Amino acid sequence: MKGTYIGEFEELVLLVVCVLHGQAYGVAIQEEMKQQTGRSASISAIHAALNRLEKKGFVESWVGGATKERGGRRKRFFQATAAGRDALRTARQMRDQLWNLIPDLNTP
Amino acid sequence: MSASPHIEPDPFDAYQPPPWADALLEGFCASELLEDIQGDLHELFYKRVQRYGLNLTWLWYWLDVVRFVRPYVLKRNPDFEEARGPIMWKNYFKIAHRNLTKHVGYSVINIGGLALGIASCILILLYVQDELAFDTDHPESERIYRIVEQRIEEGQADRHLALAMGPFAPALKAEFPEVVESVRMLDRNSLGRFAIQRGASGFYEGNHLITEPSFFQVFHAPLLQGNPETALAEPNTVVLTETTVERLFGRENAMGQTVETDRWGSLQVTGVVATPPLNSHLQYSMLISLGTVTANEQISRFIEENWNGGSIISYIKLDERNDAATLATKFSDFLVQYQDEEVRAARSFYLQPIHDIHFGSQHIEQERNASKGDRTYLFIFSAIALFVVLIGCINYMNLATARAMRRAKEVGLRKVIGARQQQLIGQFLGESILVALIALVVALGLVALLLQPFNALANKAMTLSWEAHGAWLFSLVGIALIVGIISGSYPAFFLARFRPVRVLKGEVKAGGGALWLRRALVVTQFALSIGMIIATVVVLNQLDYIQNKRLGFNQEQLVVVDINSGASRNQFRTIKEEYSRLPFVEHVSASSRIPGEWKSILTTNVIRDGQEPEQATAMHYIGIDPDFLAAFEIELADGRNFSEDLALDSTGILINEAAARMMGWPNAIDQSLNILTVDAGGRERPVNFNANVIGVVKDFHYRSLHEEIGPIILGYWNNPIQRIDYYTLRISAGVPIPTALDDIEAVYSRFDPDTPMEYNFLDARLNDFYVNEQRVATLFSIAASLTILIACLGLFGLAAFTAEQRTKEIGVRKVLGASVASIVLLLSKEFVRLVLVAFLVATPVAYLLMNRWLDNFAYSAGLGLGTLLLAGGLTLIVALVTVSYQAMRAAISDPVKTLRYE
Repeated sequence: MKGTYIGEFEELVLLVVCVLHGQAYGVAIQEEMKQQTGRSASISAIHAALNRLEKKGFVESWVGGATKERGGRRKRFFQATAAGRDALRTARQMRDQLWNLIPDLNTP
Repeated sequence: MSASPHIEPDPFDAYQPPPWADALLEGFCASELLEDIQGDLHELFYKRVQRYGLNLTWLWYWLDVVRFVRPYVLKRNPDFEEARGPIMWKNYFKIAHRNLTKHVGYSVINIGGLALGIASCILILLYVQDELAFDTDHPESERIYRIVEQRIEEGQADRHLALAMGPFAPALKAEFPEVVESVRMLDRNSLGRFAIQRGASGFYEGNHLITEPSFFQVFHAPLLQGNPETALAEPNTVVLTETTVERLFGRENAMGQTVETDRWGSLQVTGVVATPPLNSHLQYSMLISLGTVTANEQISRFIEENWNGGSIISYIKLDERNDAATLATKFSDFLVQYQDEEVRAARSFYLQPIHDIHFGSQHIEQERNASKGDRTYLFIFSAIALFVVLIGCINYMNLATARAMRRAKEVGLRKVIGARQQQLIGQFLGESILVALIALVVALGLVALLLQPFNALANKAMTLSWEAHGAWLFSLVGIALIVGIISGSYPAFFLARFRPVRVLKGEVKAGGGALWLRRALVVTQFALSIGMIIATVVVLNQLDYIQNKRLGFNQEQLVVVDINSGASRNQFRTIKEEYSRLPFVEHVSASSRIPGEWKSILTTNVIRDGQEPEQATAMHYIGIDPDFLAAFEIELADGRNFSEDLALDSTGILINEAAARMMGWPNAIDQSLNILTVDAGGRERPVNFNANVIGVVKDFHYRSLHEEIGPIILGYWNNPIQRIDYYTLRISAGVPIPTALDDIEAVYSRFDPDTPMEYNFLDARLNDFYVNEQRVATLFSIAASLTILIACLGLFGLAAFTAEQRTKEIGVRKVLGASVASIVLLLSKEFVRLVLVAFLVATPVAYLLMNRWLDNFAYSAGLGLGTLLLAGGLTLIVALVTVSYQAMRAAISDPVKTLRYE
């Protein structure tokens, strides 16, 4: 596999970004994550993860959509890049491979 | 599809995220990341506040902000400064000026409050500086020391006496090279007072010092006329202070003239010295040369040769090494060759630095110290100054924050144009500093105005002058800066946080934001005010109690005439008769001391039958005549008074109930006791007088109410214990005093033509015990008035503001039929509640502190619920009046006008 590795939390965040499909920004990601996985992450952790993902080139971002609640501040939306999607697939493959090698865990 | 009619309460008006947290975030967060991070945080805030409430969300917000402190978030380069130059300042200044003049009322309140605070601060700083600068004019004053004796007493704590043996100081100078100078003095405590006369002016002098030429080498005493080397060298010479010269000579030149005294004959004036400044512990009216008194053989021997006595005031000055500690350790060895064994065992000596004398002499008796300072008063005054300044700042903060919303549009616009947060903060801080500086100027004016009354109050003679206080200007500006920054910080941050969009859309509700802080500030102000009022009431109460308490004798209408000569004393029966012939004199009595004595009351040591000398108890003693009880209206509890039949009563004494209790005598009559010794000038004079009790008097306060009533013996005047020293005359009420005094003086001078008559009114002198307390009372009253004045100023402004805010609401209420009274009630309710909280906060603290103060008195009026309620009630009324004025104005306003107001 080429490229950098993706951390467990980062992977989670990236997955949620994909789920939100163009509507992904900080607060939305936090809420979705909580809803879907029951995992409550602090907003700062999420931002940090997004920052790392962006540095690695797995997401791209753009600015838009200010609202009253935000005091007129605009949101930053994130979307997975091709490299990001690749990284996800790779990670999933890698895990599947290892899973298949383990006899006990295969049985339901 | 139409939206549901459900109207969501708009959360944005009520709550805002904590501004300090946002400030922190903006402080560390890189600008490119700031917007969306902060946006997210605010969005979460508003979502959470609806579910979880304000407090939890507030905390959560802080938590989240702190967790954002991560390396990638932090700013790389500090945001570059925009050009700030003087151009912007012109605009800021213009706006500030406009703001001040547009709302003159508020500006006056603000500036006035701050100015009062700063002025009090300055006055108190002057006072503290003066107190701390006691005795600093003397050259090399840190090397001047007073010799203090520490004497071990049987069965009681060591006594400290600021006296030493006559030859001690000069011997120290002779024997120890580190002692460069020594000086000794005597005053009225050793040799008493004397009469001095020059032509027509004559009086008794008690404030003199008898000293040697080295006085001028040790102390700062500039001679205006005369030579310091020779002025006190010869016997029968005297150096007068300027004040005394004026008293005796008027405008004449005194130098070289002679004055007459009754003790030492003529004295020649060999110098005129400047009157000692008020901040020196050594006050005197004249300096008499030591040679004048040492002409007497006995006195000369006592001063120059007696190593076992000790009643000379002594000072020494050390060399540059200034090692007082080491020198003091050498004393006991040094004294072996001079002092008797047993004297040396009981006494040790140490050196007290002259700077320590003012504050550090509480434990020293027998000292010549003009104004013992008490550090606690310094603390009290400083605390008061701090209070007042604090309240001024709080006012400013409160008012500025409340009125902040008026500037909201200005802030919004500035931000739209591109002002950065920092610039805005700078602008508003600058404004408050400007106000503070203006207040400083006003304060200086106030100080100049109030300096004289303050001097009178504090018993000082302070002046404002460039040399002394020029350096202060910097610190004062500094103080103004600090006050400005403190007062302005909260409003500045608060204002600078406004979001332009919300502001320009008109969604920012005036008066919002941190209501709790304003409430807390008002509560603090009023708590401080209530505390001060309670303190004042307690002090005034106690003074009143003291002045009206039954003392066990009748102190009114009593004239006390001093006995100043043998003639006056020996013919006392005739004199008494002559006095009682005067039609307005009801009783005459002769006694050695009087109740409420300002000289010291004699202490004796007595034992009863079966006791050993070591078990002696101390009792006070006054020698009286049979008319004493009648003149003072003191009651007998048991037994009988003295009678004129001398033989019967030569060994009889009266004791008071306290003495009877101390001796353990339920029935004291005919009990006998032996007066062993008498304490006289630091020594014990053996007396060995056997006496038997013929009567018991009811306890009466013969000393100030600071002290418990101790055991006292009233002995017959003929006893060898203490001679009579006063005639006390009870005069009838309603007699014109000046003529009465003339008649009394006529009698006096018939028997004692040589000495001027000294008299006192007993009730006036008794008041002198409480001079300190009276001063405290005045000071507290002023402080209390100040604090509550400023607090009300602030309240006034706030109430005005609140009323203005609610004009529409009031208009609607009036239209719906509300009465004026109900509107006033509505507006006042909140403030009343705050005052009540302040009351609950202040009362326990004030109660504890004032009780501690009352412990100074053996007899006190106590601190009751009534006093507390009085203070609280008073404050409440004042606050109500303040608020109701504004409330009334608002309530009376015409609804038509207010509702038309857009």
